Amino acid sequence: MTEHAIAIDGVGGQGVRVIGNTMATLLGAMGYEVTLLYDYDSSVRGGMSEAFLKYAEEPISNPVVEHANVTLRLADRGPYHLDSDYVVCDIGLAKPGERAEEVPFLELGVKHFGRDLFGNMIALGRLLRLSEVSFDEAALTAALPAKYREENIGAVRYGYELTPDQIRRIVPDEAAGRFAGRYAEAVLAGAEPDRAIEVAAQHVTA
Amino acid sequence: MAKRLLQGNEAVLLGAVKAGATYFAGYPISPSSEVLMAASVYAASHPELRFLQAEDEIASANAIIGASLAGAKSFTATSGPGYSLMQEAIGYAHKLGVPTVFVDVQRVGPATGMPTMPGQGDILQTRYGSSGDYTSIVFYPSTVAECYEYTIHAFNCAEESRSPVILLSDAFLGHLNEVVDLDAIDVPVVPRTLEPLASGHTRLFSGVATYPDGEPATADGDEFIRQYEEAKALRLEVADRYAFYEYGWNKDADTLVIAFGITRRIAQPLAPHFALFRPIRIWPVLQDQLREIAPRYKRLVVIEGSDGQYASVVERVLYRDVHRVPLLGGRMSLEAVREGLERIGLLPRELAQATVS
Repeated sequence: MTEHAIAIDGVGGQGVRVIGNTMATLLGAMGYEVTLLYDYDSSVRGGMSEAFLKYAEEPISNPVVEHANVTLRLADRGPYHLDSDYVVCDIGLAKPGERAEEVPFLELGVKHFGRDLFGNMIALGRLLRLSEVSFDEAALTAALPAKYREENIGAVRYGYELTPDQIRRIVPDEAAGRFAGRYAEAVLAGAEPDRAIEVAAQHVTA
Repeated sequence: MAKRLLQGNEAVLLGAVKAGATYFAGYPISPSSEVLMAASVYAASHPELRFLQAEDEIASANAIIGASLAGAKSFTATSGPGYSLMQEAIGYAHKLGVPTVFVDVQRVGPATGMPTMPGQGDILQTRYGSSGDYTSIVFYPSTVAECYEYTIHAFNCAEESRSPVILLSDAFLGHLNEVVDLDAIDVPVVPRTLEPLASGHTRLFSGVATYPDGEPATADGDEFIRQYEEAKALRLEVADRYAFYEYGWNKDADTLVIAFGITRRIAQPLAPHFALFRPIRIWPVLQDQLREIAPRYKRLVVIEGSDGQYASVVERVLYRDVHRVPLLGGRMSLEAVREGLERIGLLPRELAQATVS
């Protein structure tokens, strides 16, 4: 029996539960056995929030993910014992030595769908692609709330269709945009141009 | 009804509704709060379920006792700190013989502890938490489907035993979502047994020892013992009909693992190397079953989310030493199980070399 394990690592308020619940409902509608376990501390916002998702053709016994096939990292607050074959995360969250990709999900949400919240759905799309789950629009429609359903489906599709080449091109663009923003802030705060470049460079991941 | 994704805490609410519950009182406390939230939402569209968010856990516990005496099948849900506050009321319910259900979704304690990390440290409290002698009946499921199923059993058992029955859960089980088909679970519902307050009989609902006519019996040891033995006999007789457990894995192994609730799920990769005994009825302890099964094994290991609470019970029942793998500080993981087994020299070589997937 092949059991697939996904971890979603974030903090309260980021949408860990929305992504986890949507993906679990989607997989359930596609006929998989699913376990989705939430682990969080007492802080509603800002505290550790994890979702452990497993799916398989057969019933799953142990729902706790300690070794994930894919981890979606929205913040680095996860359990210390979790390791992953592959990590997809927002900018600046990949760790040295990991097989990982960084995607500016929230910025893409704003840029393409008007709100940062849609970044979660873009992340879900990328997660589905990396997990090799087929894009089942009917099942996805059933898994999503009616509000913003069309936009959400569009965002999931956008994330699902992202290619590694596109991601490589997106990241420098976004990083350059952030660099420019930080540089402007530093100059406005009175920094000399050379110093402003240093400040801006500290905030941008190569 | 088709299969659907359902959370353990929500399954408890649906099980209670299926069992005929018409009254819920509670005070929110993680990781049990979803039971209260689900009850609130359900009651908003189903007025046959009365919902009270009380000022605290003490009021909640006494409210469900009052509701039961007034004719309702009632229940509450809480976690360790709230469950501690309910102990006086639980003793009162035992004294009066009130059928009702307390759900305790355990987290790491004592006191506020580690909200909301999973723990199993209320095992002994569910047996000995209130003062005096009484006979507790406690169930502990380990899947979302079982949360539904054993909630119904808990209500049925409460009706038959005329006592407060405890349904244990834990933070991981309460927050676990699984694909379930509740229609495939068929548990007949036991109807209400206790006549309501307004039935015309004279009733005195006092915690004080009394004669059947309500006169105080505070100095009559014979009467106290008569009533105590009668209640104990009824509860043990009823509990016998609810002696749920699981015995499996590799029965030919030389070591028996005892685990329950979410711990049994986490320990599943041990299956090829150990036999498993999972008590579902935690109290009264499954003494006969343990005495029949345990002698087949050279070693016994209790894996639990406390520092040996259930292990101490097994030792007392079997008069033999039991190895302990305590999963403390919310560390409910296979890695913690492996570390614990390694510490006592019982980690199979294959598991030591395997990855933790």
